[in-house]
Amino acid sequence: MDQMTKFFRSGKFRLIDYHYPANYNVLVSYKGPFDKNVLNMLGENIREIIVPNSITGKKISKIFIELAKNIGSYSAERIILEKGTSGGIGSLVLVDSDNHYSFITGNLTMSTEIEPIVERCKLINSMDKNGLRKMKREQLKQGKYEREGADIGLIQLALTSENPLDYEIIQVDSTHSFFSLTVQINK
Amino acid sequence: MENLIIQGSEGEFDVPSVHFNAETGICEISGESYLEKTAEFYDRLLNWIDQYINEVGKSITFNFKLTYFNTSSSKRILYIMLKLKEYINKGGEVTANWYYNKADIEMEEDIEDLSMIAKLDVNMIQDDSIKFDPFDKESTE
Repeated sequence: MDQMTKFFRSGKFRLIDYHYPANYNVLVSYKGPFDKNVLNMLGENIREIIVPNSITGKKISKIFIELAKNIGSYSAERIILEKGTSGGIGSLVLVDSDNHYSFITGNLTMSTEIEPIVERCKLINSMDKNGLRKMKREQLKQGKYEREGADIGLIQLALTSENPLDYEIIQVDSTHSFFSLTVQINK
Repeated sequence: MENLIIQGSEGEFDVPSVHFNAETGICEISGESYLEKTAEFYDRLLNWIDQYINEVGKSITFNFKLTYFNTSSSKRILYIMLKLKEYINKGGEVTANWYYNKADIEMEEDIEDLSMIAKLDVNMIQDDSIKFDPFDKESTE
């Protein structure tokens, strides 16, 4: 992954640029492994910031769980945790804007896995609510018993957020890409 | 046969509470379902229902009172509904109820979607005592 170094800027790292990015009100930001302790801690932090017992608040909690679980399960950058389990490394930022909140997440992915994800996002974004519910039902019906997940995470993100999935792919080296997903929740 | 009782918990993950009664046939699952090992947890429930059908064979009243479940859990809840439907098809008597907060539109849609796939009649019962936002821990204490 030597080519990744081209993404690293030289010069002094100014923490204030990270802490207070220009033009953005960042409520939560985290980079690291998404294991169960982190999920718990970040989840609690987020719930302290948002309005409790509101439709928006519940949406934010639900979306956080799915996004964090995705990074933990699917990131190609992994760290070995206790008892031989591994946790996916990624980034998650929650930004507060005038009319909406945005979760921006990102993690390394094998480039070969990008195309199906992009196709799925495009399909999801082309559908209205009823189309998404139908797609979710079809996917649940086809689900394999042995498989732990339901493979409806992206559909659920679109349904809960009531917004299109905003994604970006940046090729990092010959085999890896950085997959970034933004999910917006209207206030 | 023995009852299946699981005390739910909140913390690193949210484990739902389970009360399956082999004498009355009343089965209840409540709380939040967001587990580390979803399939393993629900397999215990599905196996209990299998055993009840085979050994007791009386009616089942299944009360869903979940306030939140993640996508992995939704797949397992579907398997419970499919099992109940299978029992009906074999002549078993099943009543399925889902209690939810009327403000929870997404929950209402999830119940509709799951019962539609399983082709199971689920009585959708609006109940104010069911939490709308289970993530809001403080106001519920």
